[in-house]
This record gives sequence, C-alpha cells and structure tokens, in this order.
Amino acid sequence: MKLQDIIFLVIFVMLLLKRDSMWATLAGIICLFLSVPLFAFWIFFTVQHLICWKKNVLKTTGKIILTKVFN
Amino acid sequence: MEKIKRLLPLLFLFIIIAAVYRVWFGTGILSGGDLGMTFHSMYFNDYLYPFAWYWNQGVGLGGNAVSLLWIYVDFAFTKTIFGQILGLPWNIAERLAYFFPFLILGLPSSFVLAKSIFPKNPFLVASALIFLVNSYILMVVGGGQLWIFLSYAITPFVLYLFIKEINSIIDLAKWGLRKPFFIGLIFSLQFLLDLRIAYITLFAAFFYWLFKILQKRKIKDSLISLTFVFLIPGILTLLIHGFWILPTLIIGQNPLSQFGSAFTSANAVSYFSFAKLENSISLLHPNWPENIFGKVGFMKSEFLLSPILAFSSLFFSYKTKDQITKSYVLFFAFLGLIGAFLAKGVNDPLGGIYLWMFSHVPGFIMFRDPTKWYTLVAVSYSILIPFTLWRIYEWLKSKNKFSILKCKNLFLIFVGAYFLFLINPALSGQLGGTFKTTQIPNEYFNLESFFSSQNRFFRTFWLPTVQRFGLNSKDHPAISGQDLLGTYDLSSAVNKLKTNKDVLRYSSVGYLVVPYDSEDEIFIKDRKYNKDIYQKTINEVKQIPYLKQISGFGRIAVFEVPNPKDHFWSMKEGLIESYKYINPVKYIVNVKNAKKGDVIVFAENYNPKWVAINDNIQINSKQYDKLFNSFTLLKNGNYELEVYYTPQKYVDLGLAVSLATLVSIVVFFILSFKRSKSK
Repeated sequence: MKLQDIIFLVIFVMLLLKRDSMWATLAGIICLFLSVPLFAFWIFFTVQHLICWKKNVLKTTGKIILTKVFN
Repeated sequence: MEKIKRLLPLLFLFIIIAAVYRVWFGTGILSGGDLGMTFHSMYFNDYLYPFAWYWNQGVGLGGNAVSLLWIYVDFAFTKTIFGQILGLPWNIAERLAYFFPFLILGLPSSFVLAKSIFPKNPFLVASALIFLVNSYILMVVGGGQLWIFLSYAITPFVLYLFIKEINSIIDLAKWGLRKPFFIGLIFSLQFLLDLRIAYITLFAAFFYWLFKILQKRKIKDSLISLTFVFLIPGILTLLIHGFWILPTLIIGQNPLSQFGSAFTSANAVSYFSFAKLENSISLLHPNWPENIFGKVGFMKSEFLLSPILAFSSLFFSYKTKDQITKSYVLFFAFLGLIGAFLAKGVNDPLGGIYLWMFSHVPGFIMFRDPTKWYTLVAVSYSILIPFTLWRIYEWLKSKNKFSILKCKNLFLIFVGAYFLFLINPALSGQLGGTFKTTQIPNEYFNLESFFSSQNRFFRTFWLPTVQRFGLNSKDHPAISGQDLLGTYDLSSAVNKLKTNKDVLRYSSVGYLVVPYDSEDEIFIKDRKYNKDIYQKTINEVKQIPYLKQISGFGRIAVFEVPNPKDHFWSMKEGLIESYKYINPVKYIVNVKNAKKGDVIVFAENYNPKWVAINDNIQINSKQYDKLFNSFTLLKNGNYELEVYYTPQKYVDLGLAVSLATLVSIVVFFILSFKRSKSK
C-alpha cells in the first residue's frame, strides 16, 4: 500500500465517521483542486511521465525527435 | 440599457455558436468520420417502406436488416425529403437534414430543461453553451455521428418531460392519457434517432424517479407515476417501433449478433474504454481535439475546473432553504457522478462494475463504447455550473466592499475567458471532420458517373476498403475487400484473388478499385498516410492476371473484372431469360427450358429464409459456394419464380402495428383537443 492510499483511507474513514455531507463535498472539491497541479506537472502519470522524460533525453542527444503523438 | 444588458448573454451565446460551427454556415461539403458523401444517385438507396433485407448489409452482399430498420427509416426520411422531393445538392441537404436541426433542437432543448429546474437563474445561456459546446459533443459532431448528435440534442427536452411529470401530483381524472401519450411520442422520436442515447435518457429519468422515492415520496404516488410516466409511454414506444421490434422478437435475432464479437465481447469494452475518470469527470473527451480513433490525449488539467464549478453547487445548495433547489442540485450532482463513472468504462476505479453491467444489465450491451455516457455528464454540468455561477455572482454582488472593483463583472469575464480557453481548438479551427469543408477529388465524381451510367447490376470491390467518396448504391453496392476476404494483409488478399478468380465473378463484381486516399485514412502507417502502401497495393493488384486496368480515373486505380455474373445466374446457359427487381425482398425471375434439378444462383449473402415460389410450391434456399443463395428447380418448362425474403411478412405486420398506433394517437389527440376546446 502506497502512502497516498493510506492517506486516502484515513480521510475516507474520517469522513464516514463524521457523517457530514458538507465535509464530504469539501473533501471532494479539495481533491479536485489538488489534482490540478498534479495533472499539470504530470505527477499523476507513470508511463506518460516516462515518455516525456525520454523525449527530453533523446532530444538533447539529438538522436530522435519524437513527433506530436506524445505532446 | 437594461434590455441591452439582458440581451448580452444571448448575443454571447450566438457569437460562440456561430464561431464554433461557422463552417456549417457556408456551402462546402461536410464529411468526417461516419459521414461520407451522398451523390445524387444515392438519394434513391433507402426506402421509406421498411424492408427486412438491405443491399448494404453483409459487407455489400446483402443481409438481414430487421433490427436496424429504425436507422434506415431515419436515412430514408431525410434523403426522400431533401434529396428526392426537394432535389437539393448534398452540401445543402446534409445541412438542412442533420446539422442545422442539431442547433435548432439543441438550443431550446437545453434552455427548457435549465429554465424548468432553476427558473430564476440568469445564467441559462451558460446551460446551452455547456451542453452544445463541450469537448464530447464536438467530437461526436466532428465525427459525423448524425443520429447520435441529433438524439443528444433533444435529450434535455425529453428529460424535462419526464422530470416534470414525475414531479406532478397525479390526478388521474385530470391527467387522462394525454401526457403519457405525449411523452411516449417524443421518446419514440428520440428512440428512432438513436437507441443508445434514448436509453441513457430513460436511465436518467428512472434514476430521478428512484431519487424521488428516496425523498420519502408516498409509494402509491410513485407507483402511479411509474405507470403514467414510464409504463404507458414505454408500451407506446414499443408499439410505434413495432415495425422493427416485432420482427426482431419473432425471428429471435439479437440486434448485435450480426456485428460479431467485436461489438459484444468484454474485450471490446476494455478496448473501447478510452476515457479515464479524470477525463469523464472533467467532461473532456479522450480524443480531444484531434479526434483520431484510439489516440488518447493527455489529461488537460485546465478542464478540472469544470467539475469543481459543477460540484461546488452542492455548497450553495446546503445554504439554501428551498428544498426543491436542494433536491435538484443533489440529483444532478449524482447524475454527473454516475455519468462520469460509467463513461470511463472498465478503467479504474471499480472498472469491473461496468464489465459486470455490460454482461448482465439489459440494454447495456449497446455500450461497447462507454463514452456515450458523457451525455449524462453534459446534462448534469449544464444545470450545475450555471447554478454555481449564479450563486457566486449573487454572493459577489452582495459584498459591498468589492463594489468599486465590480468583482461580479470580473468574475463573469474570468468565467467567459476560461470557457473560451477550453474550447480554443474549436474556435481556432483545429477541429477536423465536419468542422472543415471537404474538397472531393474530381476522380470520384468521374468514377460515380462511370458506374451510375451503366444500367446493369454489378458490385464494386474496393481494396483494401471503400473510400468515403466511393459510390455505394443499391444498383452498385460497394464491397470492402478486406472484410469480404477476411484479411487485413495485402499480399494475402491479393493471393486469394489470384488463386480464386470466381470470388469476384460470383459476387457480381464488375470492377475492382484501389482508392485514392484523399482523406489520409486508408493507407495508414503509424496513424499517418503512407504512399508506399498505396503504390504497393496497385502494383500487387496489377499482378492479378485476369484483371484489366481502365484509365481515366486519375489517382484511383480501376480494374475491370471480365464476365461478372449477374444478380441471378445459372451454370446452364439461357436458363434465366430475365429477372425483375421489385423491391429488396422480392424479385421475379423468368426461367426458360428449365429442367428439374437445374440450379439458379442468387448472388446475395446466403440466408435460409430466402425462398423461390412458383404455383404455391416453395423452394428453399441452399448455400452455394459457401456464400450465396441457390434454388434447385423442381419442374420442367418455362415459368416465373417469385424470389422472396420471408421475414418481410413480420415487418409488414409490425408496420401495421406501428401505423395503427400512430393513427390512433393522432385521432386521440384530435378528439381530446376538440373536447377541451368545447369545455
């Protein structure tokens, strides 16, 4: 189990115990907000992140320039 | 001044619609995805009368079309009205038949729903914008999925009808059958346009009905509304659609079986689950904006502001004392979440649920492509986001300390700019498909004239497949080579043609065509056009010894097939004196000097329900060459045979049910109208 899974479970259990829909909504909206930079900086991606990295390395060595497929 | 202020949002709406759909207001041909070209000769391809057999089924060799008759009726209506009666060229006909109705229906439809939910909301314009200009529907429209986008356009209106009547406290005496019949009629129309979107609308309506039960509505009221809002309109819809539902049930044909496992297997669902949760909850189509099948773009984080705005409505609803508002916000929030969950298909989280539903929930088998469920997200956000905007705007308005800065106006400018930013690819002309006009190469016009001018039946065989501008008509059906030969490998296909030259002749193929791939969608390598494959295909076909190339079609390579068989033929010379096409399910064949045991071959896909009748003696079809129908004659002499596809009698019966239902409803409404007027 990863750290983020533990955090998720803890918050989820807390929300269940709290039984307050306002808090649950707030948690959901905050999650959406927090996900914005995580998606923007490609932290949520594994393979896509690697592709980006690969693209940079290869570009610097000048061997391959990846096409727009991976933009 | 106040009036102008009130008109500004509408002006904004129309400017955006005009900017996004600007190409539609020109005259160039629109083609993309599923929408090809309809030449004038193709206006006569479809029949207003439903027939159980269609020439373009079964890879162009004909096939049972009973379960697809609803879509044939759609095409027949539009082509008859705009093509045959009005005689309009295709570039105008397609606009009047499909594209303009999308806007004409979609705008009021989304307004009506939004207005009925939150009548005082000044941001109703945002509802129409969100519903008609979101990444999902733009991709559907761009992909030329005509009936899906037309059905989508009336979804809010249909949902409005359901919600309105579910909310009504039903007074049986007052209600009568007028409203259920009206719901039934409108739902039947949506059902006719696209079954899947109608199913989704029904799903949303049924969910609202359940939602009302959870809100402690009396069980008796719920059951009455179930009867009047779902049961009666449902029966009516089934009866109106009797012309295809009845024969489908009698024959016992699964509508999807003819498409094969590619449409119905669990693997297909996994393959087609392109959207991830982050896509679906953000109302971001996975193929946005390039719309290349299977090419899923990276998550565009800017779209995440849409669900934030949508679900923030829950905060504002908590604060309000109005129970109706609370209830609506909660319902549409759930609807959006369910839509987002289903639209992601088998992807995480809990993707197994979709797979289970696909296999077990009736009707779910239609959703091999889960993105159709984006419709629910679009409907949901078109209600929730304007609500949030309204409440934030009101809140900013009430804050006097910000009045100098006019925060409320800045907020509107920010929201407007954000929306424009999201749809930037549509505004800047990056979208393809029907958002761009298409120039049809002249050689396709020449080819169409060449084929259409020949008054004999023959098929055309396209290798590897039919190009979107290729003629495909009932007199000259086009066969996709790779589908008929069952191989996507060029060399293997050519080898099959070399070793078995009867494949083409027996299939009544007059010409083999290697298309000019003007739209870069056939000769593809790594999703890009590859000229080498095109050239190699031509070179390989040239090696087939019995084919003779014909010049005059530019970049389209056309090869003549020598002595192709006619639609009806026999190994015995002179046996078939003549034959006459009556309709797709009936032919009259005159035989001369027939001997008992002579065989007539009918060059359509084999189906045991084809029969030949003479003097009340019925000859059943036998398979010929694994592909075609054949009839072994039972008597000597010269006589006439009626070749008939027997499931047509069920279609006729179903059509009688459909027409009787429609006529009854019309009479009912006339009488009901007269009665209410006399009161």
